[in-house]
Parts: sequence; structure tokens; C-alpha cells
Amino acid sequence: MIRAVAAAALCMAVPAAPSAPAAEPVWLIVAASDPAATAIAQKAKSLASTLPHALIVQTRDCGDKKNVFAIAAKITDSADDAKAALPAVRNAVKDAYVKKCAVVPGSLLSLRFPAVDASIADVPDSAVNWDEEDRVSTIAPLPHDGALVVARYFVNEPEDPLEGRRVRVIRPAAGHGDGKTLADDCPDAGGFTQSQGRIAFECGSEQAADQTVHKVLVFETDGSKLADVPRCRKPRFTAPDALACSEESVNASGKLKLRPKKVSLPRAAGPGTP
Amino acid sequence: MEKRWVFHLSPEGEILVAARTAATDLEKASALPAPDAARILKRLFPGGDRWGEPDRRRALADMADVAMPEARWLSDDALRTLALRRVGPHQPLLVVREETHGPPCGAGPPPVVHPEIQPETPPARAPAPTAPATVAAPTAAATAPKPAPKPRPPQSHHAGHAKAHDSGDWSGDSSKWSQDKKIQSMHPDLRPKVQAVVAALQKRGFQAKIFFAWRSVAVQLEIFKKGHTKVKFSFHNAQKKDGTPNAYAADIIDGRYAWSAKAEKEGFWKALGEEAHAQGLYWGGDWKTFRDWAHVQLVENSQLGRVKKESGL
Repeated sequence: MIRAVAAAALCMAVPAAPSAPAAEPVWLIVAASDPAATAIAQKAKSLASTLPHALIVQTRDCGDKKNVFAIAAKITDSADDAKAALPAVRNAVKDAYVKKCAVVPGSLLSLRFPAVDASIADVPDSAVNWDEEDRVSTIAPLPHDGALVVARYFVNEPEDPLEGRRVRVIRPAAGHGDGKTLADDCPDAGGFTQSQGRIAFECGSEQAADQTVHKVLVFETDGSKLADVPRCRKPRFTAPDALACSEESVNASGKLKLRPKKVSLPRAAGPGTP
Repeated sequence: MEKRWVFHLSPEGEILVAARTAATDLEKASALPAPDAARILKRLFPGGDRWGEPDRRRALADMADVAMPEARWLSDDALRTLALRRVGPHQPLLVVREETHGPPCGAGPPPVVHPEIQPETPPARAPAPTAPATVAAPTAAATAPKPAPKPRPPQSHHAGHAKAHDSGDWSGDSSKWSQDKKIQSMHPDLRPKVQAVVAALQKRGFQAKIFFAWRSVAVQLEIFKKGHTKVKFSFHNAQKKDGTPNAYAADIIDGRYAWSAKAEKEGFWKALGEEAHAQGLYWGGDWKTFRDWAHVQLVENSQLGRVKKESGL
């Protein structure tokens, strides 16, 4: 017997997302949708030959309160363009439709990065440690301006200790869908910070007892790597050419100890710098 | 705050549903393994007329975390699939088996009936004080739970909470167990190999010791939740069907160096790798993407799913 006891809780108020002031209006020609990342990636894979330029988007990036993934076969700037493009998409997918979307600024969609990487279609059903959140890419806003793309993907390496789970950190370029990969394999990516265009963040690198040990990566404004600091987390710039982080050590009891570490960086090139 | 759904499976096989914002630690610790929970929830989401009513469908969409306008585009199957993906100890849908559990450190005795649940009919009877209640299988065989495990002591998540002096008590912080007990917590095929590795390292002059071999899934999940590990199930969590330890992996350190840079400088990790390979073990120092220097295991990483299944999880 099933008794829904707390039905009132169904009506719990969910605060509305703040309205985006400069939302970009677009029209998505949606070829398919699905609430699950793997399923949408598999649908996209099956449509790859007929819709090679399709982008997997999440409706959250259109400001929708609840999220569903969708394959946008085409993204247009006007309703007329969408209407004109729809028949061609319907040749491949009979029930394709047009969805108007006010693109949330700073979202994956605004950068034209896929919400779900194509490789996610190949994650084996038998995988033990994959969660939905391992399948969905995200945006990491930087403290002052801009953001990084944290792209989650799969590599087919059966003996991989993380079952092929990978995290790529990308600095998006001005052009849609473009960017420079800063780190191709950065599990546990976090601690994103910046100073005068320089960027630093941490990646998990090792397991020690019950602790994940990290490394800190630092990048120049052009995306070239400035430093790779092993066994450190929580990077913060103390000056454009100086970084502090917390050095990690794990003792014989498995306890993590952190102590401050300073890292000198090459002087930043720029106006007024010799 | 994200809404949570907690399904209590009573000893009588009833499923009580509560929607709220947080699950208690006790509920999380009592959560059924996801595959079992998913089987049980399939009874709740059978499709057809039963979920055809608007309220019910709204509830299903809510559990699936899909708003109603979007939910209209989705079939019941799609909603069910999404809802079932959200099952797990740290997911919004939690299935709790009502049996006797040890209280968390500092907490009082386990509650008989959770205060959030206010059933319309008399509440589920209190479970017996020691033996876990057998979960009844009221309907299809597909949802029939496994036979009740043998009674075992509650597992603490806290170091030193329960001291493990004999191999029958698998509670407490397993890194604090004696070396003998750590060996006993391993798969029988792993024991002699790890003993040989430790002996060989000691012969080389290292102060090699087993840091830990087995730890419970509950402890693993706690560590995962804190963000200290990247996996929710590892070879350290392997267990026999009755829940007793059967670790396929062990972590071996030199007590002087632990995980410090000195372990590498003094050649301990290299020596550990050599001795592990000599015993036919797989060494975490070989992993290029995410090293685990102290870790040795009995089988390849690709066997994880099989070991989890073998563990009844």
C-alpha cells in the first residue's frame, strides 16, 4: 500500500530564477529531448550522420525552471529563419519542433558549448561510479569576469581507475563553441580564481588514504601554462606574480594537514611592464 | 533547497512516502543499495492507469525533477527513468529499509517510527531490538528482497567509536584495526599476497604496514560525500553476501613516510610496486590518470562491476 503522506510538500514554493537582463533571444530547432544525459547523448549519436552540427542543450539555459536535455539541430536568430530551417530537420526527425529560447547569459548555451559531450553516449551501462553529474558539463564563473567551461566526458579505457570519467577545463573564446583547453584531465576541478587575466584552479591528482590530493595549475592570459604545483589546493593570487595555496600532506593516520605555500610566478607582461 | 523524497519500506512491506528537504543521517545510513531501491520504486511507478491521475503524474514529475510544462512532453516511461536515476543514499529519492541500526555517535537510540511519517493507519511496528526485520515481498517476485542478512553489529562512521578487538566485530574505523584484523578483512586470495608484499618490504628495510583493507560502503559514501574520494564503491568495499568484509584491495604504507614526498624519495613506492607486481597484484601507482600509490588490488579495474554484484550491492 502506498500512502502519500506529505502531499502538501509537493506544493513547496520554488524561488523563481532571477530574470536575465540581457538574454539572447534564439529559436532552437529541437530534434529530440530527454531528461537523462546518457539517453540524449545516445539519441544525438544516432542522429550524428543526419544532423552533424546539432548541439545538446539544456532547457535550464533557456531559463526553464526544470531541466530537460534537447538536441538543437539548428539555432537561429529569428522565428522566420527557424521556420525556414524546420522542414529540412523534419526530413531527419519527423516531429522536430521550434522552441523559442531566451539564452541565459554566461550559460553553456550562450557559449554554444554542449551540455552533454558526445562521448557520454558510450559510457557502459555496467559502470559503477558514474553519476548523472559526471555526465553533464558546467560553467565555472571566474571571480572578476568571464567563465571557464568544465566539460565532462568519457574515454573508453576499461582499466581506468575512474572508469573513463574525465573532466576538461576550457577557456572559451569569443567565437561560439571555440576555446582553449587548459587541462584535459582535471578530476575534482575547483577553486577557480583569476588576477589580471591569469587563471588558477585545482585538479585532483592522487588518492592518499581517505583524501584526494590536488595540484594547482596556473595559466597566463593567453592560456599558456605558468605553473603546476603538486600537492596544493585552494589557490589564490596575492599579487599578479604571486600565488598562495594550501600545501597538502597526509600522515600515517590518514589525516590531512594543510599549510600555507607561496608560489612565485613570472612577472605578468602588460602595459607598463618591461 | 532541493526537495527530497524518502520512501520507508516497513517490515510489513508497506512503502511510506514523505517529501521534505533533507534526509536524516540515519536514513542515509539505512538506504538500500540503488539497484534494490530501484526495484522497489518500480512498484511505485508501474505506469498505466495508476499514474494516470493528474496528481499522481505531477508527483512523478516532481520526483523526476521535471516541471509540468516540460513533463507534458515526456512519456511516463521517460519520467520513471529519470525518477529512478535519482535513487541513492545521496540522491533525492531514498529508499530506507526499516530495520535496527546503530545510532550515529552522540545520537540517541534509533527511532521506531520516523517523525516525518504520519501514516493514516497505525504505524509500522517497531523492529525487534537486535535482529533486522525481514522485508516482506508483497507482490511480484521481481521486487522480492534478498533474504534477511545475518544480524550484525551496527557500523559506526566514527574513528574509535567502537573498538574492533576480534574479527567478528567489523565496526569502527578500519584503519585503526590490528594488522591481523585488517588481513582477516581481505578476500582469502588477497591475504597471502599482501602478507608476502609486506614481508618482502620489511626485509628490504621498510617499516611496511597495512593502512587499511576493508571499509564499509556506508563509510565510503560518507567519504565520497565529503569530496575526499572520487568513487562510491571501490575494491575496498567488497563484502560477502552477508555483509562481512571481503576486501579486494589494501593500502600499504611505510609508517615513517606515510604519503609524504619522502615515501617516493626513499624508494618506498617503487619497492611497493615491484613487490605487488611480483605477487600478481595490481598497483595504484601504475595509474597515470589518478594515482593511488599505497593501493594494491587483486583484480583489474574492469572487474569492479562484477565485484560489486558479487558483494550483493
